[in-house]
Amino acid sequence: MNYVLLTFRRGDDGSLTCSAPVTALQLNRTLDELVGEGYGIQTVLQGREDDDVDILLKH
Amino acid sequence: MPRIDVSVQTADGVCPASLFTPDDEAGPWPGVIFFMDGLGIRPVMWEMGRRLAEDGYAVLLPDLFYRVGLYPPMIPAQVFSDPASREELMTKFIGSLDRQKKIADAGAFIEFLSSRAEVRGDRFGCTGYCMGGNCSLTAAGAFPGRFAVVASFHGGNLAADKPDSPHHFVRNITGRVYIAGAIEDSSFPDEQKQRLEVALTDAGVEHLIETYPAHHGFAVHDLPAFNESAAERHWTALFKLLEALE
Repeated sequence: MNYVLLTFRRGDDGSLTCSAPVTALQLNRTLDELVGEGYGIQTVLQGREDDDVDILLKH
Repeated sequence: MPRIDVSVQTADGVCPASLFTPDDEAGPWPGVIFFMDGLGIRPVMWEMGRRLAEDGYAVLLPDLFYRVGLYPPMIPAQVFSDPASREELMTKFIGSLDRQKKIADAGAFIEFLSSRAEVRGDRFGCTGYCMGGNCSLTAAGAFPGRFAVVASFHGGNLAADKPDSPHHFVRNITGRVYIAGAIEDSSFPDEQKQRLEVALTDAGVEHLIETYPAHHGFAVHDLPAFNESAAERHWTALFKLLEALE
């Protein structure tokens, strides 16, 4: 089980798209896509000062 | 005092670590992650890990610089007196970690402790020194349900004016937090202490922030700023905090 912290940008439709990946494969992927590929949501880290969202995923 | 060399599989490779357990009682024991300071694994870190384990804990001391590869034990007086060595420390070693890596590693350490027969329970303690204090608070913010107690001693940049500073992400912490800062510490000045105090209070986190009458590095005996009375105060505070794990 590995953990990865990714930052997601919120779209006008509410979707979350990865804007700060750890690997190139994660860039511009939506949270739903990543979950569909086996990532699980561990923690939503509240506290960013902008509108982006930091989410800790496990896979 | 049993100490075994272990390997922790992380997302980025294999992290060498030491696992300390008490030798005078039967386990399993509550687990504690010991985040080293910025001078890396060396004898004083092992001594501190042993002392912590003696109080009744299974203590994991990972080499957070594993991405750099093998390196000889650093001698603080030499590193601090040589500009090139100091620069290498800041860039090559401490620079090998960022928030993403600290959190990914912390997850691997939690998984490791959870898998060990020597370890009891699924909520752990964490403590750290200097850079490790930052790692401790960062880990607690990312894994809020997995740490019952969180400590930082002369931790650096806990509430810096940066978007990835740990104080921004304390809202989910459910454990008890103890922060011991130093006087005249440019890495954790009074303005950061006040900022962290506000962040923890607003988040409703049970916490205590203290400033010891000693300088940055007071708890680690091979550092120039080591202060014996402050170091003993640190042990007393840490052992008291960890009682919540038992």
